[in-house]
Amino acid sequence: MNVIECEKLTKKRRQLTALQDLSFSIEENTITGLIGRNGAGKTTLLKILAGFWRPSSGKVEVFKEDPFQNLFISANAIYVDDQMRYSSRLTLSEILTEAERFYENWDAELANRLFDYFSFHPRQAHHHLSKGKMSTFNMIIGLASRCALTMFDEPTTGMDAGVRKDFYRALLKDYIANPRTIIISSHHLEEIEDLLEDVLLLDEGKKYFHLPMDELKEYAVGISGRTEVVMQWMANKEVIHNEQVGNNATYAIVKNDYFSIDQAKQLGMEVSPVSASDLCVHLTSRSKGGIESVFK
Amino acid sequence: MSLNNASLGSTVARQFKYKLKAYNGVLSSLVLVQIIAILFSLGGNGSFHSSGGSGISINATLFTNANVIIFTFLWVIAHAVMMTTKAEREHGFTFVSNHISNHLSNALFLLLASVIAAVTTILAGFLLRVLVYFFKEPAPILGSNVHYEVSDIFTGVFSMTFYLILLASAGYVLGTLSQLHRTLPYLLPVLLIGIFIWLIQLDHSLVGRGVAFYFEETNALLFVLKVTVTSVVCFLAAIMLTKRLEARQ
Repeated sequence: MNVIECEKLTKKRRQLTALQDLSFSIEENTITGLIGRNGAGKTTLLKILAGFWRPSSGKVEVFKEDPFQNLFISANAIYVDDQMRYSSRLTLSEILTEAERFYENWDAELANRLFDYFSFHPRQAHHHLSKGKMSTFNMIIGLASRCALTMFDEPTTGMDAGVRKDFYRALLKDYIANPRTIIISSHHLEEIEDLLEDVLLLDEGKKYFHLPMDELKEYAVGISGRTEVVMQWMANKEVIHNEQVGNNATYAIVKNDYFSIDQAKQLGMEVSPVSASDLCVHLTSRSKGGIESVFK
Repeated sequence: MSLNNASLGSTVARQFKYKLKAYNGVLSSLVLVQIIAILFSLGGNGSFHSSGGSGISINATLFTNANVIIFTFLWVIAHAVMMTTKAEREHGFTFVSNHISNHLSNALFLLLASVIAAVTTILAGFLLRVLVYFFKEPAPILGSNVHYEVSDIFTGVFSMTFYLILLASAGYVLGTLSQLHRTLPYLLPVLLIGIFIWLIQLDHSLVGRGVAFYFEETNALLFVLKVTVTSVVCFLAAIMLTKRLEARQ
């Protein structure tokens, strides 16, 4: 069953087009990574899916219903970001108690265990938490609510490396124990790529691709060797990125069309796998040459 | 993962309970406002001095809890408007909710606040009498030996409750309206005062009749009906106004 279906989804905010003709679907019980540069439309998409924002045109369905201002969607889909605000009158433990009343599937035991593990003080105020602590607390709400659709928008903002690792581990363990549909938007693809089953790459509001992680890992290969050899060899291939390394060497990322890797090796070039994270950055880079071109 | 159905009724009940906690400062501010009003009232709201030719002079000071009533009116309007501000609206979407459940739980909260405020306002009248009796006037107070029927107290609480509900609903819908565009919080008061002045120029008695429509109704049933219909219209308008409004901007 498809939990999410979007067809030609477009969202305009004043003059700016945040999402353009986005069509995709997400299956039940999968973890999808929503990847893209800053301003690619990740948050816009998630807020539409959560029912906060209204699409300008196109069709969006979550659990076969229009999500905008829909109580059924609100009860079954949770959107977690660093903008979550609670009344300043409530302490952290009171917020957890309140959340338990709202979410039918709430796992109080998990919430309390995580709460203790990350050493929160029950009487602390949410708005006094540091950035990383706030993200950690919001993550607890997101996990413990056990919503059939759980969306994390940049969940690791401000978290230190240790907490980030713990978070991914907790997410995976809880997902295996209680399968549900999870979407994570993140800039740290290298950190979450072991977690993800699918990747939806957005570029300037448009879908670049929506691929299973395994396919993404073989999407392209890195080639390095003497510049003239690499250049000649690349001539009729789809080049995603190339840069000069050292005096007379070039590194290039080339789309994997199942060309003969042996042939490349015979020509004295080195073939290496490209990490999904690097690949996504290069696929969506604004201009050839990167930041270096600014300083020329 | 199983899907849960959230009915509007149960969601409103949950949100109402959440708001009781989130807005408990609203009720403590009521106590503060009424204490200040009572302190102002201790000076007397009006005094009368008369000395006749026969060497008799009369001093009379009027003590009423009109201050408390007016302060409480302002309090309920201020909080109704405050509930519609952007920050508070965002809080309304923290857990399971939509616009309708948010407005309805706000309405329930304002209803409860109105009942509590009405009770304390009427009781403040008696407190004022006691304070004046013990600390202010050594002379006997007119009215101090008047016997009050319990039914009078209930009538007072009852009518005060409905006045507060009326003002809260009006404040709420105006607050909601002013959230639709960022210029409206400044424009709306100007427009309202402009319309007000225009109406007075148009017909002197129009505004007076408008106020009398609600505040001089002597038939209890008709009065309740007028206030209830007006409040329901106000909240329906608030729901319609925000129907297409996006949350978590």
